[in-house]
Amino acid sequence: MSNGISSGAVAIRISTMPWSPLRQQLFGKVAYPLMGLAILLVCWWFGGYLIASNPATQSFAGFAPAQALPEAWRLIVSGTLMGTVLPSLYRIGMGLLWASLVAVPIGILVGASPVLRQITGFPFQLLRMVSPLAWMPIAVLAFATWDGAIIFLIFMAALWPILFSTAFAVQRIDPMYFKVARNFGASPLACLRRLVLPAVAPDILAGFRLALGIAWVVLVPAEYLGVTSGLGYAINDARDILAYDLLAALVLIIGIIGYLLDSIIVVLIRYLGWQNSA
Amino acid sequence: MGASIQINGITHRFSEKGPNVLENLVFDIAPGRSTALIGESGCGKSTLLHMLAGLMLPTEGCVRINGRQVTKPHPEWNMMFQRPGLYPWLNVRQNVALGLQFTGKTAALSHRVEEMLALVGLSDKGSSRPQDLSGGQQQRVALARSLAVEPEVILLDEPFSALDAFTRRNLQIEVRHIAREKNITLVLVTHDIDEALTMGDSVVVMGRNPGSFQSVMEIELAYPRSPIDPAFALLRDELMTRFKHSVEGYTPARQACLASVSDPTNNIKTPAHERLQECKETRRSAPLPINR
Ligand SMILES: Nc1ncnc2c1ncn2[C@@H]1O[C@H](COP(=O)(O)OP(=O)(O)O)[C@@H](O)[C@H]1O
Ligand SMILES: [Mg+2]
Repeated sequence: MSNGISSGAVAIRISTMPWSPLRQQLFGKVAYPLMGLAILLVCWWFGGYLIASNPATQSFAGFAPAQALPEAWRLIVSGTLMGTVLPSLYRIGMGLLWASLVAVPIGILVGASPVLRQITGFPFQLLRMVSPLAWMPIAVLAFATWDGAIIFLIFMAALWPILFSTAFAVQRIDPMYFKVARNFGASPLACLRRLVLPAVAPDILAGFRLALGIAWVVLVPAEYLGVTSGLGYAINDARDILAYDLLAALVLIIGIIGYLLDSIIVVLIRYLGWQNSA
Repeated sequence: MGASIQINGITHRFSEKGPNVLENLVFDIAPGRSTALIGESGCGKSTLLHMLAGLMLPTEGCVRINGRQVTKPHPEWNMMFQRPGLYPWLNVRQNVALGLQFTGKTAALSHRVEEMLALVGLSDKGSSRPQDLSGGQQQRVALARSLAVEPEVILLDEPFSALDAFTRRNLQIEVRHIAREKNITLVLVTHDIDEALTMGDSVVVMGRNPGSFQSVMEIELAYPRSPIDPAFALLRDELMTRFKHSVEGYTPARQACLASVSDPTNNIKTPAHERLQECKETRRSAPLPINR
C-alpha cells in the first residue's frame, strides 16, 4: 500500500520535472517579452486614439500605430530607410571609433598612475558633466564639415564612459597578476598585451555599451545640425512637412536600431568576456 | 642543472631610518638542494625570498645564483606565491604557457605545455578555466607554469598554506619529487614545521626583529618522508625547540648540546662584512607589496 503511493509520487515528480525549466524558458524568453511589447502597442494605440479624438490635436493623428506601422514598412521595403540610416551609422561608428582610440589609452594611463589620476580627476569629472550637446557651437566653429561636427559631438558623448570604465578596470587588476608577470621578467609591452588589455577588455566593452547608448541618444539632436542626411535630419524633415506618420515610423526605427546595436554589444560581451564565464 | 645560491651579508630596511627587517644574513645553498626557511610570521621570510627572486634588492649585501649577482627576475629562477595568480581570461593550457611567452621561449611552447600538464597530473584539464579548478589544482597549474620555463631554482613562498591538509601533503611530496628529478634547487618559506621537514634537505630557523638566521638543521631522512616515521617525530621535537628558542632568544650554549644533529657545513655565523665584498653596487627599485 505505502509502496504504491510512494512510487506513484515518484512517477509524478519525474513526469513534471523536465517540463518545468522548459516552461520557464518559454515564459521568460518568449511569452513575457511579447506581453511587454503588446502593452507598449496598446499604450501607443490608445495615445493615438486620444490624439485623433481630440479636435485640437487631430492633425497629429499620423502618430497612431495604424498609420505609422505601414509607413515604417514602406520605408523599409522601398529602400529609402537605408539611405537614411547609413549616414547615421557612419557618424556613430566614427564617433565611437575615435572615442575608443582616445579613451582606452588615456584610461589605461590614468588607471595605472595614481599621480595622473589625481591630476586629471577634477578636470575629467567636470568635463564629463557637460552635456555633449553643449559643445555644439564649438563643434560648428572648429570643424569644416557638418559631418565632422556631428562626429565630434558623438565623440564627446562616448569618450567619458569608455575612459572611466577603462581606468577603473585597470585599478582593479589584481596586483598578483603583475607580480606573476614581473616574476617571469615580462617586458612592459608584454604586460600590456597579455595582462592589462585582456584584464580590462570586458570593462572596456561595458563602457563601450554605455557610450553607444548615450551616443545613439545624442545622434538625433546632433543631426538637426546642417546635414541633409541621417535619422535626425529625417525626423526634422518629417516634422517640417507635417508627415507625422513618417515621424512616428522613424522614432520606432530609431528605437529598434538602437536596441539591435546594443544587443550586438551584449553578445560580444558574452563571447569576449571572461568575468561572467565562471 | 640546478644552481647554487649564495646569500652574501644581506641587511634590509624598508626606509632610510626604519628598523632593520633583515640583518647580516649569510648562507650558501648547494645546487639541487632543498632549503626550508621557517620562522614566525613577520620575521622577513617573504622579503628575503623576494630578494632571491630579484623582485626586490637588499639595502646591503647581495644574492648570487650560480655566481651571478641577482638584480632582477630571470628565467633561471622563479617564484611561486601563496596565491597561484592564474589569469582568469586564459584557460589552463594558456596559463601554463604564460611564463614561456613572458620569457620569450615560445619555440618549445606547445609540446612543453602538454608535458608540464602531464607532470602535474592535469592533462585532461588543459581547456578548463582556472576558476573552475580546486585550490590544489590551481596551485598545480602555477607549478606547471613555473616548471615550463625550466628554472634552475624555484622559490616557494608558503604556496600550500591555503590548501586543505591532504592536498597540501600530496603537493609537498610531489614538488619535492619533481625538483629532485629535475635537480632544481628549492628554497621554501613556511611557518609549518611539518612542511619544512617534509621538503627540506636543510631547515633554517629564522628569528625576528631583526630577521636573522638562528640555526640550521640538516634533515637526513629518505624521501618521501612521513610524519609518522619516529625519526621524523624526533626531528620535529628538535626543530620545535629551536623554533621556540628563536622566538624567546637564541642561546648559543644550547647549540653545543645538540651533538645528535649534524650542524651545517655552510656556516650562518660567517661575519657578514666578509661576504659584502662579493657584491657589486646596484640601483635599487621601489619596494613591492609583499603579501597578497
Ligand atoms: N613594503 C614594505 N614596507 C614596509 N615594511 C614592510 C614591507 N613589506 C614588509 N614589511 C615588514 O617587514 C617585515 C617582514 O615581512 P615579511 O617578509 O612579509 O615577513 P614574513 O614573510 O616572514 O611573514 C614585517 O614586519 C613587515 O611588516
Ligand atoms: Mg610571508
